Amino acid sequence: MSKIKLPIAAVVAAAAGLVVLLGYFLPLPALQPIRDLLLNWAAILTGMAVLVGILNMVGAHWQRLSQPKNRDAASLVLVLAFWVTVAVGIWLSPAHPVFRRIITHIQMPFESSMMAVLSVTLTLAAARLLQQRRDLMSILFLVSAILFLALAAGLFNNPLMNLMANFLQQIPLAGARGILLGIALGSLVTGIRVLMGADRPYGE
Amino acid sequence: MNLDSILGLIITITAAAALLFFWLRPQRKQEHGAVSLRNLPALMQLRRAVGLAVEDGKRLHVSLGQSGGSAIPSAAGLVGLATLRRIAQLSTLGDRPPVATSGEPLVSLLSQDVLQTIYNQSGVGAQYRPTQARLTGITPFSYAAGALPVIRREQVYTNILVGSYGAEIALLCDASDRAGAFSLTASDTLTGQAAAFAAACQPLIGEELFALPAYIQAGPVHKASLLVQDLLRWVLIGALLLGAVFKLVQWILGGTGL
Repeated sequence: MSKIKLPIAAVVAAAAGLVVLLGYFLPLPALQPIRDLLLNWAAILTGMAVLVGILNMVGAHWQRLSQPKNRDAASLVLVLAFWVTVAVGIWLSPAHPVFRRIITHIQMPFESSMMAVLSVTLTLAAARLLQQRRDLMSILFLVSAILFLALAAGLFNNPLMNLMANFLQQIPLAGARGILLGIALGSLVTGIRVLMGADRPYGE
Repeated sequence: MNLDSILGLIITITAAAALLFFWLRPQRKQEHGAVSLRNLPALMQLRRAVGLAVEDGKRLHVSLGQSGGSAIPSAAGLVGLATLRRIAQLSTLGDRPPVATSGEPLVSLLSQDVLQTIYNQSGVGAQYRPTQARLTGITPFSYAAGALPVIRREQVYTNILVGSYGAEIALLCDASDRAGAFSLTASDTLTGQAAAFAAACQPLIGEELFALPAYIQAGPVHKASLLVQDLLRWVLIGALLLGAVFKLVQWILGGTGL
Protein backbone atom coordinates (compact mmCIF):
# COMPACT_ATOMS: atom_id res chain seq x y z
CA MET A 1 0.00 0.00 0.00
CA SER A 2 2.70 2.47 1.00
CA LYS A 3 4.66 1.67 -2.18
CA ILE A 4 1.66 2.82 -4.22
CA LYS A 5 0.83 5.76 -2.00
CA LEU A 6 4.24 7.43 -1.83
CA PRO A 7 4.99 8.02 -5.55
CA ILE A 8 1.49 9.50 -5.80
CA ALA A 9 2.32 11.87 -2.94
CA ALA A 10 5.54 12.91 -4.71
CA VAL A 11 3.72 13.42 -8.03
CA VAL A 12 0.94 15.48 -6.38
CA ALA A 13 3.50 17.61 -4.52
CA ALA A 14 5.61 18.17 -7.66
CA ALA A 15 2.54 18.96 -9.81
CA ALA A 16 1.19 21.46 -7.27
CA GLY A 17 4.61 23.11 -7.02
CA LEU A 18 4.96 23.31 -10.81
CA VAL A 19 1.52 24.88 -11.25
CA VAL A 20 2.29 27.55 -8.63
CA LEU A 21 5.73 28.22 -10.15
CA LEU A 22 4.42 28.44 -13.72
CA GLY A 23 1.58 30.68 -12.52
CA TYR A 24 4.24 32.99 -11.10
CA PHE A 25 6.25 33.18 -14.33
CA LEU A 26 3.54 32.92 -17.00
CA PRO A 27 0.48 35.17 -16.92
CA LEU A 28 -1.82 32.46 -18.32
CA PRO A 29 -5.47 33.05 -17.32
CA ALA A 30 -6.08 29.29 -17.02
CA LEU A 31 -3.32 28.88 -14.44
CA GLN A 32 -4.26 31.74 -12.11
CA PRO A 33 -7.42 30.23 -10.52
CA ILE A 34 -5.66 26.88 -9.92
CA ARG A 35 -2.64 28.67 -8.48
CA ASP A 36 -4.83 30.79 -6.16
CA LEU A 37 -6.77 27.71 -5.04
CA LEU A 38 -3.56 25.82 -4.25
CA LEU A 39 -2.15 28.79 -2.34
CA ASN A 40 -5.41 29.08 -0.35
CA TRP A 41 -5.19 25.40 0.55
CA ALA A 42 -1.59 25.90 1.57
CA ALA A 43 -2.61 28.79 3.85
CA ILE A 44 -5.33 26.66 5.50
CA LEU A 45 -2.94 23.73 5.94
CA THR A 46 -0.33 26.05 7.42
CA GLY A 47 -2.89 27.25 9.97
CA MET A 48 -3.70 23.67 10.89
CA ALA A 49 0.03 22.89 11.12
CA VAL A 50 0.42 25.67 13.69
CA LEU A 51 -2.37 24.13 15.78
CA VAL A 52 -0.96 20.60 15.50
CA GLY A 53 2.58 21.85 16.23
CA ILE A 54 1.48 23.72 19.34
CA LEU A 55 -0.53 20.72 20.60
CA ASN A 56 2.56 18.57 20.01
CA MET A 57 4.66 21.03 22.03
CA VAL A 58 2.17 21.00 24.92
CA GLY A 59 2.02 17.19 24.67
CA ALA A 60 5.82 16.95 24.94
CA HIS A 61 5.81 19.08 28.10
CA TRP A 62 2.87 17.13 29.54
CA GLN A 63 4.80 13.92 28.92
CA ARG A 64 7.79 15.39 30.74
CA LEU A 65 5.55 16.24 33.70
CA SER A 66 4.19 12.69 33.76
CA GLN A 67 7.67 11.18 34.08
CA PRO A 68 8.57 9.79 37.51
CA LYS A 69 12.02 11.45 37.35
CA ASN A 70 13.51 14.72 36.01
CA ARG A 71 10.28 16.68 36.09
CA ASP A 72 10.66 20.27 35.06
CA ALA A 73 8.81 23.17 36.68
CA ALA A 74 9.08 25.10 33.40
CA SER A 75 6.96 22.43 31.72
CA LEU A 76 4.25 22.95 34.34
CA VAL A 77 4.36 26.71 33.74
CA LEU A 78 4.10 26.17 29.99
CA VAL A 79 1.15 23.77 30.19
CA LEU A 80 -0.71 26.01 32.66
CA ALA A 81 0.04 29.18 30.66
CA PHE A 82 -1.13 27.51 27.48
CA TRP A 83 -4.50 26.43 28.88
CA VAL A 84 -5.07 29.74 30.69
CA THR A 85 -4.30 31.62 27.44
CA VAL A 86 -6.68 29.36 25.48
CA ALA A 87 -9.44 29.80 28.07
CA VAL A 88 -9.07 33.59 28.33
CA GLY A 89 -8.74 33.87 24.54
CA ILE A 90 -11.99 31.96 24.02
CA TRP A 91 -13.75 33.93 26.78
CA LEU A 92 -12.64 37.43 25.68
CA SER A 93 -11.72 36.71 22.00
CA PRO A 94 -8.13 37.14 20.76
CA ALA A 95 -8.87 40.65 19.41
CA HIS A 96 -10.07 41.95 22.79
CA PRO A 97 -7.84 44.87 23.99
CA VAL A 98 -7.52 43.47 27.53
CA PHE A 99 -6.43 40.07 26.20
CA ARG A 100 -3.93 41.69 23.83
CA ARG A 101 -2.59 43.89 26.63
CA ILE A 102 -2.07 40.89 28.92
CA ILE A 103 -0.25 38.93 26.23
CA THR A 104 1.90 41.91 25.21
CA HIS A 105 2.83 42.64 28.82
CA ILE A 106 4.02 39.08 29.30
CA GLN A 107 5.73 38.66 25.95
CA MET A 108 7.53 42.01 25.75
CA PRO A 109 9.44 41.75 29.05
CA PHE A 110 10.32 38.14 28.21
CA GLU A 111 11.70 39.05 24.77
CA SER A 112 13.54 42.08 26.22
CA SER A 113 15.22 39.95 28.88
CA MET A 114 16.21 37.39 26.26
CA MET A 115 17.70 40.23 24.21
CA ALA A 116 19.68 41.40 27.25
CA VAL A 117 20.96 37.86 27.87
CA LEU A 118 21.83 37.61 24.19
CA SER A 119 23.94 40.77 24.25
CA VAL A 120 25.98 39.42 27.19
CA THR A 121 26.24 35.99 25.54
CA LEU A 122 27.50 37.48 22.28
CA THR A 123 30.07 39.64 24.09
CA LEU A 124 31.37 36.61 25.97
CA ALA A 125 31.37 34.51 22.81
CA ALA A 126 33.41 37.16 20.99
CA ALA A 127 35.85 37.28 23.90
CA ARG A 128 36.20 33.47 23.84
CA LEU A 129 36.50 33.27 20.07
CA LEU A 130 40.29 33.32 19.92
CA GLN A 131 40.47 30.54 22.50
CA GLN A 132 38.26 28.31 20.38
CA ARG A 133 39.52 29.11 16.89
CA ARG A 134 42.84 30.91 16.60
CA ASP A 135 42.88 31.60 12.87
CA LEU A 136 43.04 34.54 10.50
CA MET A 137 39.26 34.71 10.01
CA SER A 138 38.62 34.92 13.76
CA ILE A 139 41.16 37.74 14.16
CA LEU A 140 39.65 39.56 11.18
CA PHE A 141 36.15 39.09 12.62
CA LEU A 142 37.12 40.54 16.00
CA VAL A 143 39.06 43.46 14.52
CA SER A 144 36.20 44.36 12.18
CA ALA A 145 33.61 44.02 14.98
CA ILE A 146 35.60 46.43 17.18
CA LEU A 147 36.26 48.81 14.27
CA PHE A 148 32.60 49.02 13.24
CA LEU A 149 31.47 49.44 16.84
CA ALA A 150 33.87 52.37 17.13
CA LEU A 151 32.66 53.83 13.82
CA ALA A 152 29.02 53.47 14.84
CA ALA A 153 29.79 55.18 18.17
CA GLY A 154 31.27 58.15 16.27
CA LEU A 155 34.71 57.84 17.88
CA PHE A 156 36.58 58.95 14.74
CA ASN A 157 34.80 62.16 13.91
CA ASN A 158 37.00 64.08 11.50
CA PRO A 159 36.78 64.54 7.70
CA LEU A 160 39.62 62.15 6.80
CA MET A 161 38.31 59.39 9.10
CA ASN A 162 34.78 59.93 7.82
CA LEU A 163 36.05 59.41 4.28
CA MET A 164 37.79 56.20 5.34
CA ALA A 165 34.71 55.09 7.29
CA ASN A 166 32.54 55.55 4.21
CA PHE A 167 34.97 53.44 2.20
CA LEU A 168 35.18 50.75 4.91
CA GLN A 169 31.41 50.50 5.16
CA GLN A 170 31.24 49.48 1.49
CA ILE A 171 33.28 46.33 2.18
CA PRO A 172 30.74 44.47 4.35
CA LEU A 173 28.02 45.53 1.92
CA ALA A 174 29.85 43.84 -0.95
CA GLY A 175 30.53 40.76 1.20
CA ALA A 176 26.89 40.57 2.26
CA ARG A 177 25.76 40.73 -1.36
CA GLY A 178 28.11 37.91 -2.25
CA ILE A 179 26.79 35.76 0.60
CA LEU A 180 23.18 36.53 -0.31
CA LEU A 181 23.78 35.62 -3.97
CA GLY A 182 25.21 32.28 -2.85
CA ILE A 183 22.18 31.71 -0.59
CA ALA A 184 19.84 32.62 -3.46
CA LEU A 185 21.51 30.10 -5.80
CA GLY A 186 21.35 27.42 -3.12
CA SER A 187 17.67 28.18 -2.47
CA LEU A 188 16.89 27.96 -6.19
CA VAL A 189 18.53 24.56 -6.57
CA THR A 190 16.93 23.28 -3.34
CA GLY A 191 13.51 24.33 -4.63
CA ILE A 192 14.10 22.59 -7.95
CA ARG A 193 15.20 19.42 -6.15
CA VAL A 194 11.95 19.37 -4.18
CA LEU A 195 9.89 20.12 -7.31
CA MET A 196 11.54 17.21 -9.12
CA GLY A 197 10.78 14.90 -6.22
CA ALA A 198 14.52 14.20 -5.83
CA ASP A 199 14.48 15.59 -2.32
CA ARG A 200 11.37 14.74 -0.33
CA PRO A 201 10.97 16.62 2.91
CA TYR A 202 7.79 14.66 3.62
CA GLY A 203 9.06 11.15 4.34
CA GLU A 204 9.85 8.56 1.69
CA MET B 1 5.18 38.60 -19.57
CA ASN B 2 8.00 40.93 -18.57
CA LEU B 3 11.75 40.54 -18.94
CA ASP B 4 12.24 39.53 -15.28
CA SER B 5 9.76 36.64 -15.65
CA ILE B 6 11.38 35.43 -18.89
CA LEU B 7 14.84 35.57 -17.31
CA GLY B 8 13.61 33.80 -14.17
CA LEU B 9 11.98 31.05 -16.20
CA ILE B 10 15.11 30.54 -18.33
CA ILE B 11 17.36 30.33 -15.25
CA THR B 12 14.98 27.90 -13.53
CA ILE B 13 14.70 25.63 -16.58
CA THR B 14 18.48 25.72 -17.15
CA ALA B 15 19.15 24.87 -13.50
CA ALA B 16 16.61 22.01 -13.59
CA ALA B 17 18.13 20.61 -16.79
CA ALA B 18 21.65 20.84 -15.36
CA LEU B 19 20.53 19.15 -12.14
CA LEU B 20 18.93 16.31 -14.10
CA PHE B 21 22.06 15.94 -16.22
CA PHE B 22 24.48 15.76 -13.29
CA TRP B 23 22.15 13.56 -11.24
CA LEU B 24 21.22 11.01 -13.88
CA ARG B 25 24.43 10.77 -15.91
CA PRO B 26 25.67 7.17 -16.06
CA GLN B 27 27.27 5.84 -12.89
CA ARG B 28 30.48 4.91 -14.75
CA LYS B 29 30.98 8.50 -15.87
CA GLN B 30 30.23 9.76 -12.38
CA GLU B 31 32.93 7.50 -10.98
CA HIS B 32 35.38 8.54 -13.69
CA GLY B 33 34.85 12.23 -13.09
CA ALA B 34 33.93 11.83 -9.42
CA VAL B 35 32.97 15.04 -7.64
CA SER B 36 35.75 15.89 -5.26
CA LEU B 37 34.46 17.95 -2.37
CA ARG B 38 36.85 20.53 -1.01
CA ASN B 39 38.01 20.07 2.54
CA LEU B 40 35.66 21.84 4.98
CA PRO B 41 37.07 21.36 8.50
CA ALA B 42 33.65 22.05 10.06
CA LEU B 43 32.07 19.14 8.22
CA MET B 44 34.99 16.81 8.92
CA GLN B 45 34.52 17.59 12.63
CA LEU B 46 30.78 17.00 12.29
CA ARG B 47 31.36 13.52 10.86
CA ARG B 48 33.67 12.74 13.78
CA ALA B 49 31.21 14.16 16.33
CA VAL B 50 28.31 12.15 14.89
CA GLY B 51 30.38 8.97 14.99
CA LEU B 52 31.48 9.60 18.58
CA ALA B 53 27.92 10.39 19.69
CA VAL B 54 26.62 7.12 18.24
CA GLU B 55 29.52 5.11 19.72
CA ASP B 56 29.16 6.67 23.16
CA GLY B 57 25.39 6.28 23.20
CA LYS B 58 24.85 10.04 23.35
CA ARG B 59 22.11 12.01 21.68
CA LEU B 60 22.23 14.07 18.47
CA HIS B 61 20.12 17.19 18.30
CA VAL B 62 19.13 18.66 14.94
CA SER B 63 17.74 22.16 15.31
CA LEU B 64 15.81 23.31 12.26
CA GLY B 65 15.47 27.01 13.09
CA GLN B 66 12.45 29.13 12.46
CA SER B 67 10.86 30.75 9.43
CA GLY B 68 11.14 34.39 10.47
CA GLY B 69 7.37 34.83 10.41
CA SER B 70 6.71 33.68 6.84
CA ALA B 71 5.05 30.40 7.97
CA ILE B 72 6.48 28.69 4.86
CA PRO B 73 9.57 26.51 5.26
CA SER B 74 12.60 28.26 3.83
CA ALA B 75 15.15 26.52 1.60
CA ALA B 76 17.39 26.39 4.66
CA GLY B 77 14.62 24.52 6.51
CA LEU B 78 14.46 22.00 3.65
CA VAL B 79 18.24 21.52 3.85
CA GLY B 80 17.77 20.99 7.59
CA LEU B 81 15.23 18.25 6.88
CA ALA B 82 17.62 16.51 4.44
CA THR B 83 20.30 16.71 7.13
CA LEU B 84 17.91 15.34 9.75
CA ARG B 85 17.07 12.41 7.48
CA ARG B 86 20.74 11.45 7.12
CA ILE B 87 21.54 12.00 10.80
CA ALA B 88 18.54 9.85 11.75
CA GLN B 89 19.72 7.10 9.40
CA LEU B 90 23.09 7.13 11.14
CA SER B 91 21.85 7.27 14.70
CA THR B 92 18.39 5.68 14.96
CA LEU B 93 19.82 2.46 16.31
CA GLY B 94 21.95 4.25 18.92
CA ASP B 95 21.23 4.09 22.65
CA ARG B 96 19.68 7.54 22.64
CA PRO B 97 17.50 8.42 19.67
CA PRO B 98 18.07 11.70 17.84
CA VAL B 99 15.89 14.67 18.66
CA ALA B 100 14.78 17.50 16.37
CA THR B 101 13.49 20.91 17.40
CA SER B 102 11.93 23.54 15.22
CA GLY B 103 10.39 26.99 15.52
CA GLU B 104 8.20 26.56 12.48
CA PRO B 105 5.07 24.38 12.64
CA LEU B 106 5.25 23.01 9.08
CA VAL B 107 8.92 22.08 9.44
CA SER B 108 8.08 20.51 12.80
CA LEU B 109 5.42 18.27 11.20
CA LEU B 110 7.77 17.39 8.34
CA SER B 111 10.54 16.51 10.78
CA GLN B 112 8.16 14.12 12.57
CA ASP B 113 7.34 12.54 9.22
CA VAL B 114 11.03 12.20 8.32
CA LEU B 115 11.93 10.59 11.66
CA GLN B 116 8.96 8.22 11.54
CA THR B 117 9.91 7.15 7.99
CA ILE B 118 13.52 6.45 8.99
CA TYR B 119 12.39 4.46 12.04
CA ASN B 120 10.05 2.40 9.89
CA GLN B 121 12.76 1.80 7.29
CA SER B 122 15.16 0.71 10.04
CA GLY B 123 12.57 -1.78 11.29
CA VAL B 124 12.19 -0.09 14.67
CA GLY B 125 9.01 1.84 13.94
CA ALA B 126 7.57 0.97 17.35
CA GLN B 127 10.38 2.91 19.07
CA TYR B 128 9.47 6.18 17.37
CA ARG B 129 7.90 8.84 19.58
CA PRO B 130 6.27 11.95 18.06
CA THR B 131 7.89 14.07 20.78
CA GLN B 132 11.33 13.32 19.31
CA ALA B 133 10.57 16.03 16.76
CA ARG B 134 8.95 18.99 18.39
CA LEU B 135 7.97 22.58 17.99
CA THR B 136 9.54 24.59 20.80
CA GLY B 137 8.18 28.07 20.09
CA ILE B 138 6.98 30.13 17.17
CA THR B 139 8.88 33.37 17.67
CA PRO B 140 12.70 33.48 17.50
CA PHE B 141 13.24 33.92 21.25
CA SER B 142 10.48 31.54 22.35
CA TYR B 143 11.97 28.96 19.99
CA ALA B 144 15.40 29.44 21.56
CA ALA B 145 13.93 29.34 25.08
CA GLY B 146 12.18 26.06 24.26
CA ALA B 147 15.23 24.48 22.63
CA LEU B 148 17.64 25.37 25.47
CA PRO B 149 16.36 22.66 27.87
CA VAL B 150 16.75 20.06 25.11
CA ILE B 151 20.44 20.95 24.75
CA ARG B 152 21.04 21.16 28.50
CA ARG B 153 19.07 18.23 29.87
CA GLU B 154 18.74 15.54 27.23
CA GLN B 155 22.38 14.41 27.19
CA VAL B 156 23.03 15.89 23.79
CA TYR B 157 26.59 15.41 22.53
CA THR B 158 26.27 17.05 19.12
CA ASN B 159 24.06 19.97 18.12
CA ILE B 160 23.51 20.56 14.42
CA LEU B 161 21.75 23.87 13.88
CA VAL B 162 20.59 24.13 10.27
CA GLY B 163 17.92 26.56 9.14
CA SER B 164 16.89 30.19 9.46
CA TYR B 165 18.16 31.87 12.60
CA GLY B 166 18.67 35.37 13.83
CA ALA B 167 21.02 36.39 16.62
CA GLU B 168 19.25 33.96 19.00
CA ILE B 169 21.43 31.20 17.55
CA ALA B 170 24.15 32.46 19.93
CA LEU B 171 22.02 31.41 22.92
CA LEU B 172 21.76 27.86 21.57
CA CYS B 173 25.50 27.69 20.84
CA ASP B 174 26.32 29.01 24.30
CA ALA B 175 24.08 26.36 25.91
CA SER B 176 25.80 23.71 23.80
CA ASP B 177 29.21 25.00 24.86
CA ARG B 178 28.23 24.94 28.54
CA ALA B 179 26.96 21.38 28.18
CA GLY B 180 30.33 20.39 26.69
CA ALA B 181 28.73 19.51 23.37
CA PHE B 182 29.87 20.12 19.81
CA SER B 183 27.87 22.63 17.76
CA LEU B 184 27.77 23.12 14.02
CA THR B 185 25.68 25.97 12.62
CA ALA B 186 24.40 26.82 9.16
CA SER B 187 22.02 29.73 8.77
CA ASP B 188 20.69 31.53 5.72
CA THR B 189 20.58 34.95 7.39
CA LEU B 190 23.51 37.33 7.73
CA THR B 191 22.69 38.08 11.38
CA GLY B 192 22.53 34.39 12.22
CA GLN B 193 25.82 33.71 10.48
CA ALA B 194 27.58 36.58 12.24
CA ALA B 195 26.29 35.54 15.68
CA ALA B 196 27.12 31.90 15.03
CA PHE B 197 30.63 32.77 13.84
CA ALA B 198 31.38 34.10 17.30
CA ALA B 199 29.49 31.51 19.33
CA ALA B 200 29.53 28.14 17.53
CA CYS B 201 32.25 25.50 17.59
CA GLN B 202 32.08 25.27 13.80
CA PRO B 203 30.02 27.74 11.75
CA LEU B 204 29.23 27.32 8.06
CA ILE B 205 29.18 30.57 6.11
CA GLY B 206 27.06 31.49 3.09
CA GLU B 207 26.19 28.75 0.64
CA GLU B 208 28.18 26.17 2.63
CA LEU B 209 24.78 25.59 4.24
CA PHE B 210 23.55 23.99 1.02
CA ALA B 211 26.65 21.78 0.80
CA LEU B 212 25.94 20.14 4.17
CA PRO B 213 23.77 17.22 2.89
CA ALA B 214 26.36 16.41 0.18
CA TYR B 215 29.14 16.20 2.76
CA ILE B 216 27.21 13.87 5.04
CA GLN B 217 26.42 11.67 2.04
CA ALA B 218 22.69 12.29 1.97
CA GLY B 219 22.51 11.12 -1.67
CA PRO B 220 23.88 11.71 -5.19
CA VAL B 221 21.32 14.41 -5.96
CA HIS B 222 22.92 16.65 -3.32
CA LYS B 223 26.31 16.35 -5.02
CA ALA B 224 24.63 17.14 -8.34
CA SER B 225 23.09 20.20 -6.67
CA LEU B 226 26.54 21.43 -5.67
CA LEU B 227 27.72 21.12 -9.28
CA VAL B 228 24.71 23.11 -10.49
CA GLN B 229 25.30 25.78 -7.87
CA ASP B 230 28.93 26.07 -9.01
CA LEU B 231 27.83 26.30 -12.63
CA LEU B 232 25.27 29.00 -11.85
CA ARG B 233 27.84 30.86 -9.77
CA TRP B 234 30.23 31.05 -12.73
CA VAL B 235 27.40 32.22 -14.98
CA LEU B 236 26.56 34.90 -12.41
CA ILE B 237 30.21 35.97 -12.09
CA GLY B 238 30.43 36.20 -15.88
CA ALA B 239 27.25 38.29 -16.02
CA LEU B 240 28.51 40.63 -13.27
CA LEU B 241 31.87 41.10 -15.01
CA LEU B 242 30.19 41.69 -18.36
CA GLY B 243 27.87 44.23 -16.76
CA ALA B 244 30.83 46.03 -15.17
CA VAL B 245 32.79 46.08 -18.44
CA PHE B 246 29.71 47.29 -20.32
CA LYS B 247 29.22 50.16 -17.85
CA LEU B 248 32.92 51.06 -18.02
CA VAL B 249 32.87 51.14 -21.82
CA GLN B 250 29.68 53.24 -21.71
CA TRP B 251 31.40 55.67 -19.34
CA ILE B 252 34.55 55.87 -21.49
CA LEU B 253 32.47 56.56 -24.58
CA GLY B 254 30.90 59.50 -22.81
CA GLY B 255 27.64 58.04 -21.50
CA THR B 256 26.53 57.94 -17.87
CA GLY B 257 27.62 54.38 -17.15
CA LEU B 258 29.37 54.94 -13.83
